[in-house]
This record gives sequence, structure tokens and C-alpha cells, in this order.
Amino acid sequence: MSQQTVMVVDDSASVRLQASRALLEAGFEVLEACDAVDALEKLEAGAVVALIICDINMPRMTGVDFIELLAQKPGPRTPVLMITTEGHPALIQRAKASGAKGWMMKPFKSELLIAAARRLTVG
Amino acid sequence: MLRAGIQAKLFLVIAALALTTTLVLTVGGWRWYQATATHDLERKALTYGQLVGETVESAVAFEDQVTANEAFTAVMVDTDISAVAVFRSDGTLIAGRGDPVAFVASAASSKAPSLLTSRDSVTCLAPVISREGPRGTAVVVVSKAALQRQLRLLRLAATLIALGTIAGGFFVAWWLSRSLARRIARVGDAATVVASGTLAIPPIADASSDEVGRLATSFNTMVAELRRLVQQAEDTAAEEQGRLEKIVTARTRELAARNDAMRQLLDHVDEGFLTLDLAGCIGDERSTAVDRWFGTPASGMPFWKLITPLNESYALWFELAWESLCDGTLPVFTAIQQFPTRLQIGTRSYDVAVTPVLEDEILVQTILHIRDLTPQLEQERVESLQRETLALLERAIDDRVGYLAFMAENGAIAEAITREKHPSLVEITRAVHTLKGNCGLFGLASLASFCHDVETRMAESGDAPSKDDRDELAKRWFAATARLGIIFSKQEGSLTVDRDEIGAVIDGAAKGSSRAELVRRLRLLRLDSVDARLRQIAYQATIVAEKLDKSVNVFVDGAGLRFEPNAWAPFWSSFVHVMRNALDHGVESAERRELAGKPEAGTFSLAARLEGDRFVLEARDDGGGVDWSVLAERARERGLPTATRADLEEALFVDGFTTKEEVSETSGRGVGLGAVRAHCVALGGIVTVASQLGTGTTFRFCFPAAALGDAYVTAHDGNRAVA
Repeated sequence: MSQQTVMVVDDSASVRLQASRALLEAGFEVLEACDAVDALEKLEAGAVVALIICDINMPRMTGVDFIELLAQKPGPRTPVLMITTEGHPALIQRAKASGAKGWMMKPFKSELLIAAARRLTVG
Repeated sequence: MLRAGIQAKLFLVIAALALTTTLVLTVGGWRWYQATATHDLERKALTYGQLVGETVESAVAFEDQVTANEAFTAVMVDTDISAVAVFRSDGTLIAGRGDPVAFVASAASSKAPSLLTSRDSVTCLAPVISREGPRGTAVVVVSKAALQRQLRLLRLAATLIALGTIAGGFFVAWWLSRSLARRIARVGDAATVVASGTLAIPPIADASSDEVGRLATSFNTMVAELRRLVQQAEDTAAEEQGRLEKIVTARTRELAARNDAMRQLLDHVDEGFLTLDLAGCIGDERSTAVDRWFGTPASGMPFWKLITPLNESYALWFELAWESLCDGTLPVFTAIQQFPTRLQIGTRSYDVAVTPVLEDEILVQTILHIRDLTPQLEQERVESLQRETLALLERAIDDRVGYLAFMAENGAIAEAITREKHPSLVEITRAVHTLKGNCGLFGLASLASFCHDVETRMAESGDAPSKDDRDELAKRWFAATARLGIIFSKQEGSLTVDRDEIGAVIDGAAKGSSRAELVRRLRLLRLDSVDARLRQIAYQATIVAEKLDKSVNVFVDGAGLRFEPNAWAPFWSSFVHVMRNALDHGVESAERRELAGKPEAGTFSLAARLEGDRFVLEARDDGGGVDWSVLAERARERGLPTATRADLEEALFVDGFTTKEEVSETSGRGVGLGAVRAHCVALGGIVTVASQLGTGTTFRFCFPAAALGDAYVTAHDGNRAVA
């Protein structure tokens, strides 16, 4: 079975590094994006991903705006898992209303991220 | 139905049997009698024929009619004889009586008598044979009239008898079948009643010893046995029920006792235990503490609805986490980790632990365990405050001047923050960052941590600290410093001077130094020592190095210069960022230094000097230097100019720009260098950076010498030599 690709979108390189390491060890391929704008460019260039893990607070474009833009695009929806710190539950609600499948708090444990990624990429 | 069926069948069978038997007997008997009687008649005819044939031999021979008639008369005494005659061989009649049959030639030539049978008679043709041979034929006709009369009578009688017999047989058949069917039906009816569940039926009365009687008897026995078994089962069931009731009663008592004990526990334990069903609704069984802390929930109320009036943000997070748990998007134990654990209601803090209850890996309910952490946190806070007060006391004892400077400078910063005196977000951000760094250096870890949290909230909101944060900051600063401030306070208008320095002035006066020289020296005493300030920074550097688990040697050379304290206070407060960045960003860990072939201990030097009419202050480290390529990439990501080296150096001082991967309490916000440059520029100075990858970095601050203070400048009176 071919490996599934997960896109990690976060302006923090350390978060991207932690997430990428965990996902690679779990057998996923990883595509990093340093923020939502970078992620959109990569998707429009043809990147095919099974799951998007996305931070909420990012410069240039927030994770919520990113999801809302993705929701407007035609075609099947790629599941999105939001990662966030405490402070903005209303943003999580907006993200869920725009189609985010789930969310996790930062800092996260790698095994929990892997379990979530496996659940969201089933089928 | 059964009766009719069995009865009809039996009746038909028996009736058919009777009918058949009667008919067979009747018809068969009649036919036998007919055959027998006819045979007898034929024998009679034959006998008479032979007799006549022998009797009339002489009559035929001698044609003696008289003899023949006498024979005939004798024969015709039998009334069955209807005719007798004798014929000559040629067929002529010799004598006859009655209506004899016609002569039959074949009979004449035969030597044996023959019979001719017709419907009404039997004629015997007996040859008359003398010694000479056949001489004629004797014919005897026996009438069947009598026989037929008998047969008619017999047929009638047989018919009557048959009918009677058949009628009798039918009656017997009916009676037998009815009787049998009734007996069988009695058994069937009783079986139907038993099959419907009733055993209270009278025994079937059937004393007969035939099969039906035995069936009835067996049925009665079976019913009696069933009654006995049922009674036995009922007795056993009653016993068992009694036993179970005792057990249930005992268990109920036991459960009630346990419930009471559990209720006692829930009522008196000072922790919140409650269950949530799959809709998040609070169960009725919960500890009293829950109601006491959060209010009594309405029946069927979700937990977050109970909390919303008390802490809306927490309630919203809890509800979001609950949805995530229940919609199965995430694995159960991943979803559980997303629940907010710290609930703040007013001044009270609670820890909330969520435990799922699974059956066959399916969530069936959730248990919440809530602890009031307020006393514990208060205890920790008090202990932390005591520790920090002690640490501050030790610093005050070790370095009173430095302590007083810290209190003065950072007290001003704290006041400016809390009173919103900063005109821009950039400045207040720098102020919070500076206060954090200095509090950390002076052992006020909790206040430094609070400043860090405030910075985080400001970064997320993009706004100045909230009123709550400002009030809390003021409260914490006061709590941390007020007590020692009573003991160690700088009196207004007082001046602390170094004993050696005042001694030099006195010596100069004693030796007859000029008035101008004495005035210069005395004016200098009103300024603060650059050496002293650099030594304080050096001391702070050792603390920072220890926190970073790095070995660093710090060198200081203040060149005996002095500065006007009030004007330079903001600069020195923010200069600590240069030191912190040098030790965090610059100096490598021992392992990396070993790999680079450097001495294990890093070097950090602070040097001040006069260069012509410039006051120069340098901070130098022998760390890894600035990786300009990485910096350029980060600057491009931020949209900053990167065309020239000057652009890259400029990027270092942009607020919020950092090459650090993550924020720590030491550095990483990208705020400190901007703050120090701003204060440098405010004093008329400029700052430049010289860095070589792998070798180290030098920050050079260059001020007009006049910035050190008018006293310094006028004291020199054009002579720029160091005093």
C-alpha cells in the first residue's frame, strides 16, 4: 500500500520538526509548509495529501482563514486537524464550522498525534 | 367432530362388514340351495328314468301299455313328475302320461340315461335295454314348478332375513361405533383440557379392559402423575423463591449499606467526583463538593452548561473537547488529552481530570475528578514568594548598589507598564521583555514567568497587556519587592560613593590639588561607575550561564569611566538583553565547543573606553557567530530586505525577528536587541554588529562622550583623559 502524505502547516520550525519526525516514524510521508500561504501554493501546484495538520495562529494567514479557503475549493475535502494553544476556543469553533475534522492542543505528545493521523487517514 | 369422524368410520366399517356378510351368506346360501335342489331334481329324474326304463322293458318288448301305465302310475305318485313316457326305438310312443317331451333320437341310441334340463323341467331319457339290446327310450319329466315355488319362497325368506340382518347389523354398527367414539372422545376431551393447562379434571370413567379402557386408565394415571410433578415443581419453586428472596433481601441490605457508605464518602470528601453520560449530562450520584463549588445542576444539565456562568472560556473548551471525544474523530485517549485541566473560578483554581469508561472499547460514560488546588497553589505561591524574597535579600546583601539600581530601574519599568505610559505597542513589548529578563536575573522567577505569559498573550492577541495582566503585574511586583524595599531603600537625595574614590579626593585635597581638580573629582562622584555596572551585568551573566548549563568566563573592563545614572538607566536595563542573547544564541554548549575545537568554557567580555570624543561599549563573545545565510532566509520569510550585509544587520534589531526556533524564558522573542538599540539611539549612539561564523560576535555601542553626563564632560574641561 502506498504511503499517505501528511501536510504539516506551522510557522514554528520546531513544531514542524516534531510533527514530521513522529509522522515519518509512523510510516507517513510528510510535506511541510511554513505557513498557510505556502501550504496553499503547494496544494495549487498539485500536491496530493491525505491529511493536513495546521496551526491556528500564523502570520500572513491564520489557520481558520486557510480552512475557509480550502472549503471553497471544488473536489473532495482533505481532512484537516487543527493544532492550537489555549486561548481561542472561538477560533476552534470557526475552524470546525469550516470543516476541520478535529483539533489538538500544543504541546502535543507524538504518540497522540500519530493516533489522530491514523484515525483521520483511514479510508 | 372426533366422535362423528370415528363413529362414522366405525359405523361404515361395521355396517359394511354386516352388509357384506349378510349378502354373501344370503345370496350364496340361496344359490347353493338352488344348485343342490336342482341337482336333486336331476338325480330324481335320472333315478326315475332308470327305474322306468327298467320297469317298462317288458312293456316295450311286448308293447304292453298296461304294464307301462302301471309303472307310470307308480311313478307319478311323485307330484314332481309331470310326465312319463316310453318310446320305441323308432321313436314312436308306446305309452305316456302327462306331456312328455318329444322323442330324442340320440337318447334312443345311447346306452346311458341322459338329462335334458330346461327352465321348467328336467327330462331324463333313459334307454330301455333288453337282452337283445336297446328297445326304446323311457322319458321321465320332472317338473321344476315345486322347486321354483320353493326357491321363490326361499328367496323371499332370505331377503327378509338379509334385510333384518342388515338392519340389525347397522344398528349394532351404530351402537358400537357410537359407544367407542364416545369413549375415545372422553379421553380426547380430557386431553384437550390438560393440554390447555388444566390438570384439575375428574378421572375418565371407563372401566372397560379393552384398548380404549386401558387408554383412559393410562390417561388418568398420567394426569395424576402430572399433578404430582407440578405440585412438586411448585413446591420446589416456592422454596427457591423463598431462598432467593432471602438472598435478594440480604443483598439489598448490603447494597443499601454500601450506598450509604458511598453517600457518606461523597458527602464528606473534599473533592469533586461526578459522572457524565454520553450527552455530557451530570449524573445524580456525585460528591457534595461539586454542588458546593459550582452550584446544584438542573436535572439533565451538561457539565459545561453548569460551568458557563462561572468560566465561559473553560466551558467552551470543555464542550469542544467533549464533541471531539464523542464524534470519534480522534482516538479516545487522544481526545481525552485535549480536555482543559485547569479551571479558574474567581480566585479559586481547580484541577479537572477526565477519565473515560469503556466497554468493549466503546465509550459508555465519563468520570470527572475535580480537586481544589487553591490551598496548594497558595501554599506554593507563598513558598515561592519566600524563596524569591530570600534570593533577593541575598542579592541585596551581596550587591546593595546593584539591588538598588535593579529596584529603581525595574520598578520604573513595572510602573510604566501598569500605568500604560508607553506610547506604542513596540515599546511596551520591549518593556515587558526587559522586566522579564531582569526579574529572572535577580531570582524573581515567578514574576519573570508571569511576564513571559504576558508576552505570550500579547503575541497572540497583538495587543497591549490587558487590565487584568497589568493589575496582576503591579500586585506581583509589589509582593516581590515591597518587604525588602523597607529594609534596603535608597534614601532620596543620598549618594553612595566608593571609599577609595572619596579617599582619592581627600588625598588630593590634602596634597593641595587645584580647586578645579577637586571640583572635577567631586562632580565625578555624583556619577555612577561603568565598572560597577559592568560587574553587575557580569554577575547576571554567570546566573544566566548557569541556567543555560553553559560554562562561561566573563571579563569586564570599565576603564574607570562614569555615567549619569538617570539618563542611562533605561539603556542599562535593556543592555542585559545583549548579554542574554550572547550567552543563549552565541556561546555554544560544551559538546559543540569541543567539536569545534574550542575551549570548554566560553568567553564573554564587556569593555568600555573612550575613543576620542566617543564613548565605546563593546560586548564580545567567542560563540558560533551569526549564520548570515540562515538569518537571510528568516528575513526573507518575514519580508525584510536582505540585499546587503547592512540589511541583514538591520534585521537583527527588528522587533519580533528571531532566528530562534522557539521561545524560551531566556530569549527567542526577537524583542531585546530592538529595545537596547532604541535606548542607545535615545542617548545619541549607534550600534553595530561584527560577527564571523564559528568565531564569535561583537556588539559595539558608540555614543558621544557627552552622553556620559555633563558633569563628566565639564569635569574634563576639554581634557578627555580618564580621571
